[in-house]
Amino acid sequence: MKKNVFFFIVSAAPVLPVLSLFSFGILFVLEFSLLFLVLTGARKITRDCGLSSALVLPVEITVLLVAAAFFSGFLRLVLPVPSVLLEFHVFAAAFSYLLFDRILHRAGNGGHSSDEYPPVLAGFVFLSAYSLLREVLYFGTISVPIFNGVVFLPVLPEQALVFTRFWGSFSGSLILTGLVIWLLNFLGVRSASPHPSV
Amino acid sequence: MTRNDTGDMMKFRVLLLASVLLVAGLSFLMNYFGDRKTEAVVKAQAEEIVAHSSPSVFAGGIRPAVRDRIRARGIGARYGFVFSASAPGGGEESGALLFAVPIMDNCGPILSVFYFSPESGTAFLGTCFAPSQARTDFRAAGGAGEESGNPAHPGPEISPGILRNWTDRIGKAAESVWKGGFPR
Repeated sequence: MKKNVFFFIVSAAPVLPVLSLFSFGILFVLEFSLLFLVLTGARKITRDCGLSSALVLPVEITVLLVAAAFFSGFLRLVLPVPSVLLEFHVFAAAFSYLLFDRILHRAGNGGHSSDEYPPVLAGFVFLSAYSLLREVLYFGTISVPIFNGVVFLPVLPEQALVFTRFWGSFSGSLILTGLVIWLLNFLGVRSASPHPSV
Repeated sequence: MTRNDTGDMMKFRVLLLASVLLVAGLSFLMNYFGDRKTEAVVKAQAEEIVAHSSPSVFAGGIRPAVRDRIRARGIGARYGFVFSASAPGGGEESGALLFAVPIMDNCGPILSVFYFSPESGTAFLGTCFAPSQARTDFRAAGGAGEESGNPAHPGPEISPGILRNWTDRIGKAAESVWKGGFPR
């Protein structure tokens, strides 16, 4: 699980700067779910078609880009302002997902590939937790996407943000993520796992 | 492989190609209609920010009306939402522009609205869709033109350095828009 989260952080690096709101995290979880379904389906079809291995990667990239374009259109219709803010990152997420998938394949990952749920779920948990933490610490709110907009629920008083704002910024959140990973290793979660963790 | 198997495989491939084309077409349509909706929403947000801004920021001291979207080419993909702006009764030829630009700062992306006119230069008006605007204990993101905001403090979302940088960039982009005549 920890290893999967680490791989996910590395491959999701292009989308991390925009994960400033919990609602953006939810949108990326939705997008990654769509990409997971599409890529799994595309793999099965290319296998059934007996496509040559040289063509598999171009087909996968095309299918993921079409899926990202579909999601971008959906966002523009349902959440116009977030779609302007996330514009290029919606497409960057497709490449992030493919990279995550390739890293998992290369690493072996104990027989797992991203065609199976656990590695993808680890990424989803990270996306949600990271965006939630950043929003609460920087803005003191929790945002939830609704049709045609986003609802912001204040959870921290303005005065508290003076102390927490740095940890909610992009640079602060990366430091915090590193500290959490180190702490998890330090507390001995590592020994609970049969596989060596990163 | 028998002839029957080959035929089935061919049918399968054709069906697959048709499905991919269908999804691509659907994506195109969604993006087309979505873009029109996004334009309307961003324009409404920009109008709201202009309505809350101090008239002294604008050329002639009059709040302008936000008019048509300008599809300016060659100034960068970031400037997707540029609107012409002119005082009520005035034409587009006044040269004023409104930019709605996603600015990336340490807190994440924030949609910011800037005003440009050849006489008064570039001014930051405010931000749309900022969490701080939803808080009851924080009035607004406080753009330079914000009536009740502090002109020197653009709010927690955008740091002054980033804001200065973007004000310069938008001034240059606006000059590029006007170089080749008014785009339609």
